[in-house]
Amino acid sequence: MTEAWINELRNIVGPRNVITGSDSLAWESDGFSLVRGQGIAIVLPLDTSETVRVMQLLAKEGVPLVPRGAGTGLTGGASPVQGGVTVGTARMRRIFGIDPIERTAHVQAGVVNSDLSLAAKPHGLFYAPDPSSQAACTLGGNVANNSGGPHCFMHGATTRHVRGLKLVDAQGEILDLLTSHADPAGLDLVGLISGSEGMFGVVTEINFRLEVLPEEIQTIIAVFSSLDAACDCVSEAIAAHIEASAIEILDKLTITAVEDSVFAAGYPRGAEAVLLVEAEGGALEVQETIDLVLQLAKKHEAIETRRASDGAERARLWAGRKGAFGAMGRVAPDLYVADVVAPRTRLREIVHLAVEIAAERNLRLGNVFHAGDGNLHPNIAYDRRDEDEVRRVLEAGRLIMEACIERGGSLTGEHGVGLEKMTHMCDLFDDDDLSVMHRVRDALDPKRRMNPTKVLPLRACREVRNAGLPLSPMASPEGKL
Amino acid sequence: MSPAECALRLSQASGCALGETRGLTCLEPRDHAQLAAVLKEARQQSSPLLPIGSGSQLAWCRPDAFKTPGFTPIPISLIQLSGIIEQIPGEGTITAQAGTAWSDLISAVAPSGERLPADLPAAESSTLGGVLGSGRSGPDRMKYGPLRHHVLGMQVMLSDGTLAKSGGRQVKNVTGFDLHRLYTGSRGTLAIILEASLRLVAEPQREWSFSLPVADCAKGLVKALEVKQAMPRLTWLVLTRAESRVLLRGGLAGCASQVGADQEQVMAALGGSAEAFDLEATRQRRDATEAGSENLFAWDIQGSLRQCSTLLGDLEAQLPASTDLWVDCSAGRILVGVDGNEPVRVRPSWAESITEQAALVRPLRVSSDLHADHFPSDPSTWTTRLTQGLDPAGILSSSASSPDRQS
Repeated sequence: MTEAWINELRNIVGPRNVITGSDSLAWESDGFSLVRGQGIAIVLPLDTSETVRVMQLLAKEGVPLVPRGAGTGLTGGASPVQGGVTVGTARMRRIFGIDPIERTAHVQAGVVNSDLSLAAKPHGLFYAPDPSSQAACTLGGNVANNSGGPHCFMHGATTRHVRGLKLVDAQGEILDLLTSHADPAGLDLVGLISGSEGMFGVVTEINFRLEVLPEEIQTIIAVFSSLDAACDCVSEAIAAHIEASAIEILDKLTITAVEDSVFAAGYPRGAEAVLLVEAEGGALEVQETIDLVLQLAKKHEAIETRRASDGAERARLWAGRKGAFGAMGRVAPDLYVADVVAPRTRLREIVHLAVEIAAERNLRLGNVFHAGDGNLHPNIAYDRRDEDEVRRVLEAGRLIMEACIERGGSLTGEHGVGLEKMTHMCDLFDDDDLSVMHRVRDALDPKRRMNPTKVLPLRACREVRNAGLPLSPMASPEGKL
Repeated sequence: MSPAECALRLSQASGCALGETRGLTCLEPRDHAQLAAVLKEARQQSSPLLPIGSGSQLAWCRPDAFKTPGFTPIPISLIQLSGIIEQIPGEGTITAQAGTAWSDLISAVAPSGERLPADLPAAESSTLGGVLGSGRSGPDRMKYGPLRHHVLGMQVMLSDGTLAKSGGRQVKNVTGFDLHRLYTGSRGTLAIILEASLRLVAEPQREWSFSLPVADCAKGLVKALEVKQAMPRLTWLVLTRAESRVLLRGGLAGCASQVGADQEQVMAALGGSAEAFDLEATRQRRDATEAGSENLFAWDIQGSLRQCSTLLGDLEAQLPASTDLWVDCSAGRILVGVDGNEPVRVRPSWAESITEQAALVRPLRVSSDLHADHFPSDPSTWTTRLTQGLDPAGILSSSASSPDRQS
């Protein structure tokens, strides 16, 4: 039976674009490598039309499916842990057009994030959301996760840049929201779909809003002798309504890892923390913003401040920041990338707590985060072959999340819930909150075939809490459920 | 039973007080328990409800415009549930109850050097819940984007009494589905908004604005696009046609020195005959915003900027010169007036030809015959599925699914 419909999939997308058996191992997890699962097949449609036929076939056969972009997600959202079929957008690479009057771009979901800005540049435009993985991650994946990035401090996360989209739902029906007007005609379905982590369908095309390339960009680096001082500097800058485009902090372990890697950016080794601030816009407003940051850095006893002298140095500083996750591979073979949100007035307190929690468990913690948005990434370097270390890593991750939530923060700022944080949803929401999310899901995918067992816990929160440490069953060195 | 009798019956059964809003008898619950009791009674009596905030946007769907017996929804207002729940200086957010006046929010955030991310007309008579429910944005969306992008989280009550929240109070958060985006602009058809959190923006150091007389709206839009191209930092840009006079109006806001430099560029792009305002810039902005109040117009047309250029030419050719127009040059939105305050009873001939070009034509002052135009045909069945999923008894979504609409 299975072989029959897999052959039908081959007929739809071509034999080379249906991957099965040992060839599918690369798709068994996403960036959250603690969780792996093997589906029946990976299918790579070329466009909306092929996606419709694929989805209709899977609906007829009752097969669960997992939408997947580049697999750079960090919470297990694209791992086929319930088997089924992974529907990837890797072949959907077309940029249909860029409209300089409307300042929009119409693209297929599999276009790589950074390719859009490259294509928009000749028109004096760019695409603002810039996840660290932007050289690999796809725009469809960005929509599914409502991805962020350093410059979302000024420009907002992905959802604010989606003008319209086309989606194929679980039944293989097209929802065409590629309208030419700025506001939705009825319900804001685009807003609902953005960040829904592949639970409502496969996004195949998107119309994005683009930004005008700024006249002036300035980047500064401020070096601190303590992480606390860097955090305090940011909290004060936020309170002063600083209009920067990005405000990032890297701590000592991260600086060292970056400087030891191919991403070496010239961050001062030995510094406890560096603050990276960029301002963009008109020359005068940029100057004023940078002056204010320098003033605040001095007040918080920065030991050095430096302005990027040219575009090349600026690019180097950002390459270091965006390569930080990869550079942590020098510290240990695996990296647990936490993603939590802290109230911006309590940055110092929560970063401090994360450091303590990791130290108490003898873990190597590197902090690199979107400080301006309060979006923390306490990253723990570990070796997944060490069962006890895996246990300590997950425990630390849970405690950091709980600390954030207790202090008015949130579970995830940009990576999504996926599998990793699904049971933690009960820390933030109650049964009624979650039941409404389930009702929305059931209205749109009554058979729950889209990305099953992700985002929403299936049991009542009391049962989830009594079940003990989340993820513990998945945390075996083999990473199997 | 008349709507007033229905309202009285619901009031007596639930203990909820009755009030009057813009000539309509209206249920005004004082707390969540009373709201839940009203909803319970409404379900038992199969009596549809229409959340109306303070009634400032009633023109889109006056309950007395429904003509089918038994489908007249009873207005319900959360005006009694007002007040700021949280505003921590330094966080850049505010959380308030749905009945809080928009103007009270403005006053609350001003001392910390912040402003709401939408400059709206009728701020005194608009409530937070009403503004979000009706999906409004201001002309300053050119700089800040539409208001719905700044809604961080909500608490709502569904028609079955379920109290539920989504999102949060943080400026960055992707936890769970963004149901608050779904409720924003849903006109109360999915749930009743109880409270909401918004992202704030910095109060600009300085504002500057201009006003340029132009021959007609079509030519004005061409000029607007030139100015927009020359100065990407414009905060707002609108065209107004009132008393047969057409003005292109816009402004800058932000860092004082930058505004000073940018205004020179704008004036150069305008070509010299514009009037500039410095001290009066804020008043000019407010005037232009108030001029775009939906209650002053009969039709709302939206299209791309390219479409707008053609649409304005067609409209000006077909409409009398006395018809007021208001155009948001960043959103491609055209508001069209009619003489008098009567509900729009007939879809005019120009609307037919424009529908073929534009994406969206909606009547703002509407008779029941035209209700269908308020709820454009669903591109799939998603809207129906969502309303049935969240409001299976049709208590809140009846105004979107009444026989009036289906006719």
